[in-house]
Amino acid sequence: MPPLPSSARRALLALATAALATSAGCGSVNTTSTREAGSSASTVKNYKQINDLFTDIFLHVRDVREGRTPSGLLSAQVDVANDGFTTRHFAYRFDWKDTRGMVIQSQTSVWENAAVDSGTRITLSAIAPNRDATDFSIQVRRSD
Amino acid sequence: MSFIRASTLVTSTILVGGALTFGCQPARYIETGGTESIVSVGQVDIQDVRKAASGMLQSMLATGVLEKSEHHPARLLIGSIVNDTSSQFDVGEVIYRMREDLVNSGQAQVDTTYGSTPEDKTAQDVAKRRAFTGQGSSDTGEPDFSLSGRITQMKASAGNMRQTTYTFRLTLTDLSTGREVWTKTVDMTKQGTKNAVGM
Repeated sequence: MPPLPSSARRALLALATAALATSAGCGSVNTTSTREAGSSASTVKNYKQINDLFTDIFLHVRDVREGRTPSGLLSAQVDVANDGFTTRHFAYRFDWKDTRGMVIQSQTSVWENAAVDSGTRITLSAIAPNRDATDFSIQVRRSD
Repeated sequence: MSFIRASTLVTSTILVGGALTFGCQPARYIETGGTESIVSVGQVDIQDVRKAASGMLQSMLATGVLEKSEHHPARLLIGSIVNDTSSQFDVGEVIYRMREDLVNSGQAQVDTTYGSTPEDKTAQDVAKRRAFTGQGSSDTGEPDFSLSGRITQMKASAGNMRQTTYTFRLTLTDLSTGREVWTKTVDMTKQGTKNAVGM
């Protein structure tokens, strides 16, 4: 087979690049916001234990915020971002702890399902079951 | 003869293979409502009940509506919760889970002896007898709120793909005014061609 002329090679390369860009960006979402991520005053320091690296590569827990409801209960918000190329489905669960770090048994601590589109972030919210709760943790597990 | 022997061998292999494939899943305990639970497309599962109760509870707690009642803890009456879905399950499963957190944390008390069809007939009989003999508690105030609701479903399909949305709705009515003071809708949509294991 004779070698392709340079113009044909350039055309093929451009075509391949365009196809790759199209497939990678398919279904992805671009978001514009007036606030920089993590700039909220209620953002709290958090610690991660990564057991599923694959999930953490694409599905990031970004900001973790906490506040109080009008009735004085602790409320939590966690931003989860999807930096992958496809929609990610996952399950998550909030656990609430008292001042001694003991987990509070509650019917509000259940596994929930969520999905986040490519290139977007969603906010997971939860309210503590009672005033004993002073801290929380969240577990994230991919479903697909 | 050799054909019969070969066919017997093939049949045995298929049977053993089938037994190994389908028979090697011994029963075991899993976390109730956990990520290993069976997900049914066309009926309400235990994880749906738990998620509905959790969503309702969090919404009710966030508004602090129970703390605005005349009594502390607030006195709650469980009204009718209608199951308008084709799925057969006890709607009390949702309410009992909510009650567990509300009552045990001291945020509400459920009146189980109220009305013509009380939840606890024995307790109502005892209360009536004590009231008749003058030994009853002086604390005989009326309930503050009534909780009622409805569970509905919407179905859709495309080819073999089936989708069902279950909607849980609850309403809290202030019995002193007769007006709704809290309401919440929790939707759950499940999609698939068949039931599956895992969330």
